Amino acid sequence: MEVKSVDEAGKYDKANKKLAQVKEEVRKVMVGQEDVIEQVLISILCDGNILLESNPGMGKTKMVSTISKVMGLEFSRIQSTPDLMPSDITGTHIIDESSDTTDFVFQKGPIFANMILADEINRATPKTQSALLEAMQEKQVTVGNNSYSLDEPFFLMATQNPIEQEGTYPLPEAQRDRFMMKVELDYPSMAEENKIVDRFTSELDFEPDLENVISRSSLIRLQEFTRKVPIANDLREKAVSIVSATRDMDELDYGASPRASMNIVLAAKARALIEGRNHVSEKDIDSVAKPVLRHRIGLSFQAEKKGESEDKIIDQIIEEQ
Amino acid sequence: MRVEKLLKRLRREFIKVNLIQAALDSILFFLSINLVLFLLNITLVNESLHYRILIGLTFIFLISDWVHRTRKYRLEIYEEKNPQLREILRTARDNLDNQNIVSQAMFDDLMQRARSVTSESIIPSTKIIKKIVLVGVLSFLTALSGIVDFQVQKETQQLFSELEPQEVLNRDPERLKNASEIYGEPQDIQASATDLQINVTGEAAGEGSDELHRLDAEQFTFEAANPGLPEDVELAKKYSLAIKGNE
Repeated sequence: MEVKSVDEAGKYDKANKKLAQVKEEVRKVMVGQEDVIEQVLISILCDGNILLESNPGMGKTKMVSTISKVMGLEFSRIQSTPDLMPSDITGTHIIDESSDTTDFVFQKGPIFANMILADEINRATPKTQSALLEAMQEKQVTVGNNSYSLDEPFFLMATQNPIEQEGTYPLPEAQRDRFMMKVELDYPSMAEENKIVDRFTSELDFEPDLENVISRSSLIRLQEFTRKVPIANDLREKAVSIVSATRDMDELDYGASPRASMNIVLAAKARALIEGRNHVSEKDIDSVAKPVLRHRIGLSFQAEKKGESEDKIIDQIIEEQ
Repeated sequence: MRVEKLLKRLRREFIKVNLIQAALDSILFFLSINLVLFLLNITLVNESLHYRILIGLTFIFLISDWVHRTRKYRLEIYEEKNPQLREILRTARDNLDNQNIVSQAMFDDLMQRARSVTSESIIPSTKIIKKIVLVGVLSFLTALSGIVDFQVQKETQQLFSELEPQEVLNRDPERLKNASEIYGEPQDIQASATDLQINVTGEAAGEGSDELHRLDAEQFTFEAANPGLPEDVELAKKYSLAIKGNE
């Protein structure tokens, strides 16, 4: 019994080391943005998707492609435009002329990858957005009368530009709720920016040797591990009460759904795993509350007029708990 | 299983620590009540029952204080005093049934960290030291007040009842007493030669029979001490010896 226990603890330590190694490898390319990298990893471990809000030129594509390389995942990028059709994403049936018989065969679109970066999702039409969201939720796409399952693991990161809203199709609340987190990428500090400039201007094509730290099957196993991270009852209750409090705030027009409670607990478990802890801590709950809740709550007109923001309201709720 | 044992051990240690605290509280209770009653010159019932009642009350205080303290048991107390256990104890308690790898790793980790945890960590040493000092001070005051014999009131007051303890505790059931218990042991009375003479003067007269019913006053005179009694005793002795001889 003792031997088995030590062996199991060893497996868990190995998983911790792998995740720490992933972070190390990503740091070879990315400078700073530790929180964002952590949140992306959390989302991958939770089998969730991310809505990333950032200005252009912040290294979103670089970050996701680096993470996918380190994790041995297939990466694909979709640039959303108003004329982007669902079939451009999902794929379409084409005539196969290579054989004697002319059959329609399904040609897979860019959505058939493990890691997708859907750039400026709010520029795509609602119809195309829906196709993406079906892929996110159901892990499958429907083309004609046929449904095609997507490869596991599947992770989508959709970006939004916070400054240009003209000619865009903002995501409705119900569709935003399907994203596990909304991550805000801020400008780097002077020192970090200096390092970025140095790193990417010294060589013609900066491509450091990145180690493929974990395989796809290991990643799926890590996702299973994440759900098994134990959490104390009072911490679970705290997560639920934070979400519940968003429904009673005068400053908010609408609060978060029970899906938010599930995502807070799950994200807290993933954070504990990344941090090398074998149980969820209160700081995990506090740390993931903002990215999980900020796109699920709606400020009232009065609150906006007073200069409140979603993050301030969430901070206030956490303090009151 | 090991974690369950650990949780039980922690609870036991908490109970032990609180027994020490409750004992100190009880000693303080006893000493302070005793001192106050002595200074006010008050006995609860009477001198011999006074301490029995006081000890009884102290014992009740000890038990109730201990039970009250033990009911306040929370694992968070250990977490507060041992930062290395923060949140992990609660998590382990709430996930005792989980047998998966991560939970096992947590249990192993907890066992490792819990090695350094002893009941000393939850002993409020400052409080205990203060209480011990207070016990010392009260004991000294009690001894001093006994030596100096300083009492606010000079007359002893009984707080509850004036019954003797023997009457309260050893009272016999009611029964009829015999004559010797009532009158005491019989004593020989020394007969004196003084004669008591009682003269009753009466006029006994009926209708129409003056001669028959008229009696002399002398006929109603009797002697309390018969002068011929020693002769009768001698006679009785003779008879008695004769009877024994015949037997």
